[in-house]
Amino acid sequence: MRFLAALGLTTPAMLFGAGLLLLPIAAHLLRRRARRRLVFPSVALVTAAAAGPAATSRLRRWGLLLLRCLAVALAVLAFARPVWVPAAAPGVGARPAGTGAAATVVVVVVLDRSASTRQLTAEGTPVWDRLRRLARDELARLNDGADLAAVVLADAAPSAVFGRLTPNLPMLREALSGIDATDHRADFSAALGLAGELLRGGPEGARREVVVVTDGQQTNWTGVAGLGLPNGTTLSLRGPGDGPPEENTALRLARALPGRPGVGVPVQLGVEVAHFGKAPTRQRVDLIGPAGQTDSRWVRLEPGERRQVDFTRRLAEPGPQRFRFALGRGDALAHDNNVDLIVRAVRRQPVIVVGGGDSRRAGSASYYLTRALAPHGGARDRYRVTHLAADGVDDAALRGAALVCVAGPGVPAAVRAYAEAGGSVLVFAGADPVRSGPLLPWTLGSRLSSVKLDAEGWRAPELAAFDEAAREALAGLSLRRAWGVEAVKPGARVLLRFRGGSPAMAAHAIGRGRVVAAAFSPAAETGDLGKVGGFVVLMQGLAEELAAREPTPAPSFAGGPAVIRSAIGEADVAAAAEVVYSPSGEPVSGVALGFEAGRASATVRRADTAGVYVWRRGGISMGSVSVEVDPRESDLTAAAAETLARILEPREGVAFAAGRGRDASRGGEALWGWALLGALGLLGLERGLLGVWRR
Amino acid sequence: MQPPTAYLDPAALAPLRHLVFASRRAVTGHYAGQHASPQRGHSVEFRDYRAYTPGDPLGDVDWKVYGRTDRMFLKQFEHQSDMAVHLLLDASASMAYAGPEPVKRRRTPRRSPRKTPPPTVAGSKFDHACRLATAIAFLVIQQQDKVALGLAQGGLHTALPALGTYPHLHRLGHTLEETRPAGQARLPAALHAFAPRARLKGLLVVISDLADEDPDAVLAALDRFLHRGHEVIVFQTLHADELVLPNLGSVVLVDSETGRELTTDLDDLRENYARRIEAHLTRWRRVFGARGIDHRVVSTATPYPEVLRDYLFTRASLR
Repeated sequence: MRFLAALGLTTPAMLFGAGLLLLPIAAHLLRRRARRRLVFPSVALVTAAAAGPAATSRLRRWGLLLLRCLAVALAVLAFARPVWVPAAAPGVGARPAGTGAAATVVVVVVLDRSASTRQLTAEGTPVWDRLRRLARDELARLNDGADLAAVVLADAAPSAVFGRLTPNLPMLREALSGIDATDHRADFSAALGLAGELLRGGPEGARREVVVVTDGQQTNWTGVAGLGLPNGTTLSLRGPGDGPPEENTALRLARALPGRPGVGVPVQLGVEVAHFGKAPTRQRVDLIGPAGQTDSRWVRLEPGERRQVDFTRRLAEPGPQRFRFALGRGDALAHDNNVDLIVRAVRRQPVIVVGGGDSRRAGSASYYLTRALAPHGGARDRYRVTHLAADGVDDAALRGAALVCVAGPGVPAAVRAYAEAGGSVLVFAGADPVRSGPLLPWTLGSRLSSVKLDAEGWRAPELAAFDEAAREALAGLSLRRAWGVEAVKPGARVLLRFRGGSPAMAAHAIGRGRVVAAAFSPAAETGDLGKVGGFVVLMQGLAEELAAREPTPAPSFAGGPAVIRSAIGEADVAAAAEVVYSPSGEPVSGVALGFEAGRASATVRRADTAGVYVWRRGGISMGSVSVEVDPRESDLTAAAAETLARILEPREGVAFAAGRGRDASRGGEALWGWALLGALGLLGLERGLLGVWRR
Repeated sequence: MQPPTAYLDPAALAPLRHLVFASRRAVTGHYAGQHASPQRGHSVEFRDYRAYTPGDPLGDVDWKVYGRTDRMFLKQFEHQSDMAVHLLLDASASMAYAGPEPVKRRRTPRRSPRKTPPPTVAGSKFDHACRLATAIAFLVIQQQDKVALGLAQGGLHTALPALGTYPHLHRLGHTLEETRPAGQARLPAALHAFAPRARLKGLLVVISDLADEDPDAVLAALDRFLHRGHEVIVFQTLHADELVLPNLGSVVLVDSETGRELTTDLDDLRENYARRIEAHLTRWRRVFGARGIDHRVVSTATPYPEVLRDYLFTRASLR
């Protein structure tokens, strides 16, 4: 029995092949039944000849049957891949010498179920299956009814199966069968802390053990500190014992630039491809559009290299559109080979012009700004321009605007709030400008007369749309009235200067937004700037650049929160008892509704699965968000045993059982070669005996 | 020309025409022939002188010798007579063995009518014996000798007198074709019954598998022929499967004559059987050899012309 206990099978399902034993037995029986009747002339002689060998031949036949059955049994055993696991690591599971059977052992198994445990081994089975089997084996070593155990699932938010220590070990083992790996990154600090809490709740005087069953992924263990285990706890480690897989390539951090592109405007859809492996690889990255159209791009990656792969698309329809990046070839971890990206296209981006006089009166700053931003005055324009008087501006009016242009004379407080929340603001200095303030990148000084813009220095990204001819045209204009700058704030960038060196345009960040200020005005009373075509180019370029600066929502990772911003700014949050659906189509619990950046939002407190979460109200889709596998999970490199030993070294009275435990399927001495050799030997013996006996 | 019997193939025997199927002993016959005879005759071959005794024909006195010696001597010459060959065939059930029957397989019926199956090659021991007997009869009649036939089936079943005509060969062939092997041979009884039909010295050819026969009884029966001065030849005809057991594995053997059954695995006892059959044949060889009887083991695997040719060559070399 001890021998059988030390014998493990890697693929026990192959034992079903034992049914093949029926073949030699059936052949033996059929041979007996399939006798022919033969009318023979010399039966007397045959009878005399058969007198001796009958008993011997019967024995031989049984011997041959035995050899054949043994050969088949050994072959089946070889396919089940037996391993010899001599003994468990000391101190774990097994009872210490001298302890009576009545001594209680309390064991907490910390089971790693991070995304990396979904990786496939060389045999094509998930590492998770092995880890789960190891955990079950640890529980199987305990005495049912006498010992206590708990299983802590180590993911982003560790929790204990049944929430407490339990003596019902069969039920605990059964519960493990229904648990699957997650897309999370494991928080081992929290998991070990929870294990410590459970151990403290155990009976006094009991022997305490913590068994960590993990794939040993390095990124999961980096930063683990403070085990939080009670004194006298024995800590040990179990793992599959595999080296890192040959290669894993991951897609992550999908983004769109601009984040909210206009219809027909080129948008850059990009994803980062990272390669973790020992050899260079060549991968095909596919971009699959909403209608299934696919673009592909090949990329060659060196070991450890990360590369951005971009596709340029023009979105034909407004509204949210779902794209998917996919790798052309599978690898060890399939869950990071696909990334979704939700891009919300708008037909005409809203732009608010604040102040600047009556927009219907020719010559006013707002008149020229409106014309420059929407020259066609209709649906063909890329921007939908709304003019507001300075005193009519509030937070609600600016909500959802891609850009706010302030033409003076003052700057409403709501504009500042809009900028700090992430909006883009363009401020022109009018006839009586605000000279300084937190919104402006500078402090204006004295008034300048008849100045021209410098033809050089148009290198700022915001002015990248200008070609040589447009620059010359604008630089040739004489501005009758402009303002000098006393001081540029630290952190601000000067984008353009007047001839003579005084700053003409500058930009700085405020809050999460950005402000570009101009020391001139398009109003007719200050010059002819607003009348020339170059001003239209200037405004279109600035608007495109500033509107594109709307921050791309930071990617959400599985195991963390995911915020879904409503596409409908006026969403009735109070009545929005909507449902958020997970990527598998199941309703998600733990959703908080609120406002985010001026828009209604639904926050999924913990997005368990990577994929697209959709927020619906009735039949209307309020919005959606893509959740990715944590990029750190893609690096499947396992930490060296010494590294783990260093992390879990003895502290706080905790004894660490050095060395990683053995998985019956991987760690033991492989016996299948011997089994196969035995099967072949028996077959050879059977053939040999048959040949000798028949000769 | 149509052969007189299906068992006879003159073309196959053409190479044997120059050989004489003759007895090694002197034979007696009614007519002159080509075989040595103990009788004195009037041939050109001088043999001896003997003194005249009253009553001898005066024409036979050698007058030249009388003139020189004044004594009367008779001149004697060799006499060659014709020969009668007596064929005795075993027609028992054991001679009907033609090897294991092919396993019948179930076939799906076809729409088109099946053609008639190809004729099976008659390969029983009896067929082989009949071919051999017909060939001997053909050679004997062709050399102006006579041939008689007897069939041993529960004793002497059928007997044809010794004649040397081709119609007799037809009758002989027809008789063999009509005969179906059955029952036991009872060879000694058949020999005893056949003996009165062979009064003159001649040749007795026995073709049998000698299955379940008592050697002493057989020998006692043959003694009647030997005492009369017959030469006896025994062709012990066996099927190839009797010499080397067929590769059939486990079988139920049914004795063709007694119906006794035996369940066994032929693979297991092939070696032992080979020893047994060899001892069995050696025993018959010794029994016949002790009486100066020619004994030949004939396998159905060997074509009968080849058997006959080898035997005649061997006889010719021993003359």
